[in-house]
Amino acid sequence: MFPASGPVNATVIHRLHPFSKMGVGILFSILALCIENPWALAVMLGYMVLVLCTARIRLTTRQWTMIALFLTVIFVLDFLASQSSVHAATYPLRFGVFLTAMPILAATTAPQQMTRALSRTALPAGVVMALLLVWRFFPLMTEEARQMRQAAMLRGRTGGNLPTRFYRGFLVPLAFCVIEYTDRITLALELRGFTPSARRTCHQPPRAGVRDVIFGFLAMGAAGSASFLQWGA
Amino acid sequence: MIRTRDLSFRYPDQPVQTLDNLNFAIAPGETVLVSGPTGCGKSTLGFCLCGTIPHLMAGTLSGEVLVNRKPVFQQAVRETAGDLGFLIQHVAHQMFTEQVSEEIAFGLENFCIPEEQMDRRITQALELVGASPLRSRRLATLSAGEQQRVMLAAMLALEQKILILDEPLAYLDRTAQQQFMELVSNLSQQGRTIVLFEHRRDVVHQVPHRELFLENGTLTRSYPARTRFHRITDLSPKTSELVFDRVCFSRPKAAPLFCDLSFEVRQHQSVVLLGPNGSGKTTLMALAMGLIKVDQGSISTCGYNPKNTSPATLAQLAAFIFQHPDHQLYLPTVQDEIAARAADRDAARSEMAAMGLAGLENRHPRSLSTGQKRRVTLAAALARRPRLLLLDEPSVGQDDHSLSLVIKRLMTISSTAEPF
Repeated sequence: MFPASGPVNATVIHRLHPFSKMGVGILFSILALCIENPWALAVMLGYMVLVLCTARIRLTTRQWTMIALFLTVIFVLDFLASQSSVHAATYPLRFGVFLTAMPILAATTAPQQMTRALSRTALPAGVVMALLLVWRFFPLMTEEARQMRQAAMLRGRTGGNLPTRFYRGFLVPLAFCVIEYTDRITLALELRGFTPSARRTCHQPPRAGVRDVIFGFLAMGAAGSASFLQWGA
Repeated sequence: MIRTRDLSFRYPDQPVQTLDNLNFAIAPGETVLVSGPTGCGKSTLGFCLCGTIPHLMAGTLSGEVLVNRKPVFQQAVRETAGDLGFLIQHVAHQMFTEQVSEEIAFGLENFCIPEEQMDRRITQALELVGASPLRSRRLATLSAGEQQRVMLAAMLALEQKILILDEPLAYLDRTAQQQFMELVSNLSQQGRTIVLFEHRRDVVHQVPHRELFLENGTLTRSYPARTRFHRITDLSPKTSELVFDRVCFSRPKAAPLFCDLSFEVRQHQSVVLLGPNGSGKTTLMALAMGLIKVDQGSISTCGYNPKNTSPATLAQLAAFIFQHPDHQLYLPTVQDEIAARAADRDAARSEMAAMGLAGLENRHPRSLSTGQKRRVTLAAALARRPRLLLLDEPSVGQDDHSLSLVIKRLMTISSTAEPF
């Protein structure tokens, strides 16, 4: 959803403990499911937009337009179905909270930070490393797919009908890429001394600090305000 | 430091030995070049030295490899990795993190180096390779040469005594190649044992103390003379086939890659595009083929504007050979691949012969070596009889023999008035 923004320690949001961000993301997502008051949802969305700005995540005009268009379509469809502007406003706002809460975490947390945070839990090293590799897998495969698409564009419509071209020109090379990637990763991990069963140390493990407390309090404040608007009266 | 005794290896389902009875020793502090044509067994030898054969790769193995007097085949790869660092050809495949310092720390974490020692080791390693300013940079923003340096620093931080470098120059531009070889020379003078796997002997010949030449899996004493490639001569240029007129292009959220770029390539002319890694050579070709669109200015490829013409239409007149041939191979046999869009049957046959692919007609293209794959993509392109040929890094992964076949064919095309 959001592009990865800046270096690992670019902003205060980047420097937060991954579990703080994860906790706030999960809290807001669950709360957004329960809340039906649009003002309460607007408070939560406002907080997430503030986090977005603090993290210096810049969206292009096209991205803003697409998001606005998507939410407007939801509003209009809901309004046509319910004939209630309050009800119609609820769903786009709820979507807005979902679309920001967890992706902000992903965009401001380097895979290595998350791995280090997870390595402090009881999860086995093999599982933690698998998460790191999955995180790296998608950008690499996106790049491979881009080049395959370019090769297909140059080939045009030769080489059979569309399903055949898709199978031969995209699925088969992609399958080869995935297998080669798996082989290379296994090899590279072993060569760099990684063994799932061996103990590892941790360079600069993430530590919760004052900023995490402040971030948590502000999030609790926003969540509390939203809850009050929903249930307080 | 390294000793092999009667080392032989054969991959499953292969009729011949990839390595055949190798016996050699490498002393501490020695720098050894292991050269030979592609497919001669260089990489396989590297995998045996670091223990990935037999621990991760299957095959019939006999003999022994000792690294620091320890039998490699009897200990885990991780234990061998404590003494021996292996830098694979495409270093990006060996990276697991996002930032330079974290990448170096990754190896230290795996070897359980205490946290309080890590920063010192990272600093020292980066200083050794002259990459201290890169410490906080994101790996994705580094050039290929810088990535090589960082990965070398990752090995040096582990204080491994032996460094094995598998074709480290493959993806580097000339300046980066020179800088990297100077770095290897410095490390050699500091007493590191370095084994360099490289088929481009002309680039590295000044650094190593000794050369082992592999041919068909065996060590030979007769080294072939270094190939001298002739310059491709042009005939008098005629009509323009590729014109860039005041072209500007920039990637999203990045500084402009080109601005007001103008040049012209005429019929029968051969032009070499030189530039450091990341300077936009591939992008320029993609622009010419309409795979990406220019921001400003105009391009004419064989008389068509790529902005308004589909890449498939342009590909009927011009051919673009990618740097990585795998992305362009999609049919089950070499013959199908070359004949698929060939002008006629004779064209396919003659290009296959000219590229030294006779006898490989029924092989699956992906089962070939990198050099052979490149020649298949080139033969497939030439069989279409294009007016314009765009080759992206044609020498990568090619040994002297393979490259000489390509250059010979290009010379024929370029020096003939009506090549097709």
